[in-house]
Amino acid sequence: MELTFGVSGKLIMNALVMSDRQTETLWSQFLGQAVEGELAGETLGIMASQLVMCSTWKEERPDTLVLDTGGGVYDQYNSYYASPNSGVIGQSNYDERLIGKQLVVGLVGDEGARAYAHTDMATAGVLNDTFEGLDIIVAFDRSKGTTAIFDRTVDGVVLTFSEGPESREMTDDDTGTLWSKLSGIAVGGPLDRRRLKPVLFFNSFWFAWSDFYPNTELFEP
Amino acid sequence: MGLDPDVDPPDLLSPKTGRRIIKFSQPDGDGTKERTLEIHSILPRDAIPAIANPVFITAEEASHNLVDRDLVIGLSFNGEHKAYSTAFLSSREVVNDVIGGKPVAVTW
Repeated sequence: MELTFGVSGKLIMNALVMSDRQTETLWSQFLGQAVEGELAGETLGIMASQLVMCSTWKEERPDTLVLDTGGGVYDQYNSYYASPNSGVIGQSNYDERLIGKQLVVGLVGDEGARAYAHTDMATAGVLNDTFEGLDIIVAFDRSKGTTAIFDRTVDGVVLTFSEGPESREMTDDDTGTLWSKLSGIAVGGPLDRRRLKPVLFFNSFWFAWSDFYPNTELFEP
Repeated sequence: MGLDPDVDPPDLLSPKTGRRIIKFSQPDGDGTKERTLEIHSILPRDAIPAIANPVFITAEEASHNLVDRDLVIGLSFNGEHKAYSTAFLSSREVVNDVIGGKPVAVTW
């Protein structure tokens, strides 16, 4: 069944709850699953996406289409982003490891969740890590404030990455190939044009992440 | 791993059920725990109008509406690439769309 979604006007832990037109089931955006109604218990497939500056996306995908905004856009949440306030209905879990409005990228696995603060990734640049048995590279472009996460196994070999010559690139120490941090596509060297498999991750404020995943691991540099 | 850049990501979240105050199970370090989630009503349904029939323009055309530093959600599937302004999504929250033949909801 193909569903069409609307905005229910409800929140779960300050995050969007959608309502589908076909059955009026309520769906949690953050969890990607139906929480009340005929389809309760169903899950939505979650697709990997990027949260990036417009110019960065256009460089990576010159043939991109862009949703027509019908003119210039003012973000009604600008003052909210800048304020220390978190959400509108209070938090269920105050986790003081980070400030509530700090941005994190998070992973969800079978055993638990892990978050990386943007501020810590800005220091690390690239982080060779493992998550629930998967060898991953967490790549942060300092000049763009953009993170991406990939499986760093290529042809059965676990690659180890270092910062590239530019902030949007990284190099693997094993072959010297140059890779785009955002797309995971090799842009020069022995593995040119190969692509790292993307790992599904989420961009979130820390207060929301720690509400939904109260025992989340947090990367500590 | 190969050259196909647009693989389906895995489903990483497991199914849960619920009511107004709903219980659901969540992997949590050493095993699965049951939690309760409260559903809060803030606004009437559709007070924020989701987009049902999105219109797209080229990146060049969009340069009249968006500046370089504006944030977008970038999505790729089956060779098709789309960008959705988060500032615009702040007032609409959900876009019902199709990308690379797959029906999707882009949410913010």
